[in-house]
Parts: sequence; structure tokens; C-alpha cells
Amino acid sequence: MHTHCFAIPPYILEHIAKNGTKIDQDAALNTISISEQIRGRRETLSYIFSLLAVSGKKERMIFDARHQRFLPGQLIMSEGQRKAPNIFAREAYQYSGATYDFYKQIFDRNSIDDQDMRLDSTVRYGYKYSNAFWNGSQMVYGDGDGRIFRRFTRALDIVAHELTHGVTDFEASLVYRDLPGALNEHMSDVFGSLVKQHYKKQKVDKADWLIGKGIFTSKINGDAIRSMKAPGTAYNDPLIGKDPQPSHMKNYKKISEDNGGVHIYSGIANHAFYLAAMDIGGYAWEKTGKVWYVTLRDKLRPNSDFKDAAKKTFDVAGDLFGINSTEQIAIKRAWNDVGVQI
Amino acid sequence: MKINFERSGGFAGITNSCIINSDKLSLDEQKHLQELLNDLRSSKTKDLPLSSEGRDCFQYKILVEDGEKFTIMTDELTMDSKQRNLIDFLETRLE
Repeated sequence: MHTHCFAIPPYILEHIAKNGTKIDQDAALNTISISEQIRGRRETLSYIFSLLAVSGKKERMIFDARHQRFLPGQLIMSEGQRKAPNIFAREAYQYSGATYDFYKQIFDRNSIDDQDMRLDSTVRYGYKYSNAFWNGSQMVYGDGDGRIFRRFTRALDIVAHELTHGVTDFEASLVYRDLPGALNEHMSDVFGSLVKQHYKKQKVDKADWLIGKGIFTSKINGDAIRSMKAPGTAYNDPLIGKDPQPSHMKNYKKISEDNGGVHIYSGIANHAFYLAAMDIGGYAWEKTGKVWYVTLRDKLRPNSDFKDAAKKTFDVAGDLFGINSTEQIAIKRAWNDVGVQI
Repeated sequence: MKINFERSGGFAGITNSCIINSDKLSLDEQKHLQELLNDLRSSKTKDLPLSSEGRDCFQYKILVEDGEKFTIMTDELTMDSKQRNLIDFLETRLE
């Protein structure tokens, strides 16, 4: 059991957090979050923050880890705040908002859990930390090392990718290993890309189908971290190697690293989505994206693999657009083209 | 002493690895590395399960050959402070 010592008794802060005006709540939470005595005591922060009622609307909080590894860090921005204290906060705030808006407008989904779960993001995590991750309850972003990677908040699709991991956890709960894990990664890349395309109002032929474009520094020979259009071509550099993603099941083999290659074999399913979207045309979120969302929400199970995903997307396309519709045929052809037979 | 160190996963899914031979390190580094390993050995933290909640986190595999052989597998959400200290040292060798 932890003992917490507060200058202001926690029951007072609790009362303010529950009953105060928004300004009062922010002040109470900010007081808590900057207290050295509770730095790193996530369970206390979680409890305090959980006192804020879910209000049925977008609610974002941005925290600054100040180059440490304690989460969530210091609260530096909250919903409705006009001015961001730095570019990392601005991007995390803006892009998590864009992701929320996408899910709400296109799929009528209310945040990660469909019950307006607050979107928490921590920026400036670690020192020269070249990564972004979802820890089961929040998004976390590093600044990059400046040599290979730039800051991870700068790419909208990375923010949407991380947030979508939360969506997947609440829906299919795909196990994060081997092919179910690659499917989990694939879903995050799909909706990461769709959020970006929606934000830029791009139809399928104008989209770049790249994940993490602009995340490498100019020293690196690479457009992006992954390519849904051409897996295996996103980068090729002596410092980081070549993009290892395959585009066909014939190149799948069981490996141990990266949880069984979840970031590698996602390329196969990514390419299937790209092929289907290009075949169907228009704005990718309207038909192909809808099929994928309904499949993720209603059909997949924790151990679903690519074959399951192919069958379910095929079935959902039939439900939404009709048996033997052009959409259903396109989806079947796309999976077949990457070696997943329906 | 020889250490095979591998970091995989992360958002980019890039796997980096290196081999550290202690006789190629400075005396100070050798001493520091030995202290880190002794700390780890004494706390029996080798077998913590990987996180079931983390997505896009780094995973680490460390194979130590120092008279005895043992392997540590962990990730950045579940590692304890002793594993963290060792990994911080080893990661500088990846650069």
C-alpha cells in the first residue's frame, strides 16, 4: 500500500475535482500532477482523474513527461484550451481531436470505448525516445533522437494509429502476438491512414498510403515507416536497414522478435486493404473503411487471423452492399491477391 | 563475458541487435556492467511476463554468457528498475 502526502489534503482536491468549475478542476488536477510527492504514482492520478465525469463529449488531456519515464507526467493542456504550451502538446491535442472527430462523424463512435473515454496523451516521454506507444490506457510520444527520428507527434496517422489500438482493445481485443497481433497492427494502420485521408479530404487516388511519413530525419533514405501501397519500399538506409514488410502470405514465417513480427506481417493485410480501397474507389472510409470498422467492431475475436479477417470482411461487405456486389467482389479479390484465400 | 542484446518492436518494428564482449570495454565500463548484472542476478527478475496491454512498445532479449548462461526477456512496460538500468547501458551500444 502506498502512503501519499499532500500539502493540501486529498479530500479537498477530490471535492474540487468533482464539483468545481472547469477552471477549478484544471487547477486541482494541475496541483496534483506537479507534486513531486506523487510523481510516478499513477494509481493516485488515475483515481483523481477518474473523478471527472464522462460528459458525453470530446475530452482531451495532454501531459508532459519532461523527458522522464513516469506517466502520465505534468498536466499541461486540457480540453478547450486555446493555446498549447509547445508544439508537442499542440500536435497531440489537435491530432487526437481529429481522430475523435473522424470516429464520431464517420462511424458515430464516441471515443475509444464508445462511451466518451477521455483521451490522455503524454508527450516528451523519455530522453531522445524514438517511439510512440499505447500503454493500455493512454498514448505516449517521444521526441525522437534527432538523428534518425523526428518527434512522433508530428504525424497524424501515428496519433490515430495509437488511439486505434485502444479501439481494438475495446472491440475485438486482438491478441498482440503472431497473426492476430499483425491484424491488430493492421487495424491501427488502416484507421491511422483513413484519419489522415479524411483530414486532408483525399480520395483513394490522391492518398499516399504511407504510415509515418515525415517521421524520419532528412539524413535517412526513407519516405515513411510503412507503405500500404507497396510494402517493403518505405525505407532503405544503412543506419536502419530496409523496410522488411512483405505484401504476400507466401513470405510469412514464424519469428520470435517483435511479438512474432506484428509490425512486419501487418504489411500483408495492409496491402489487401489498399487493393480493395483502390478497386472500390472514392473516399476510402465510406465503403472499404466501413467494412473494416464493422468487422473490427462486430466480427473479429481475440485470436482472429488474416483468414478470419478475410472471411469476415467478405461477409460484412455482403451484408452492407449485397451478395456479389462490386464491393464484396473487390474485397475477395484483394485478399486473394495477397495470398489469403476466401 | 559476452552479451547478445536485441531490441525489437516499437512503432517502427525495427530490430536492432549487438554483441558486447566485456574485454572490449574500458575497465570502468566492465566494472559497471558487472555491477548491473550482479544486481539483476540477486533480485531474480529474469522471468517477468511481457505486458499484455502495451502496443508498439519495445521488447528486449538479453542473452548473458558469464560462466553461466541466462536469458532475460522483457518489455518497457514490465521491466523493473534493475532491468531498466542494464538496458539503458546496453542501448548505448546500439547507437
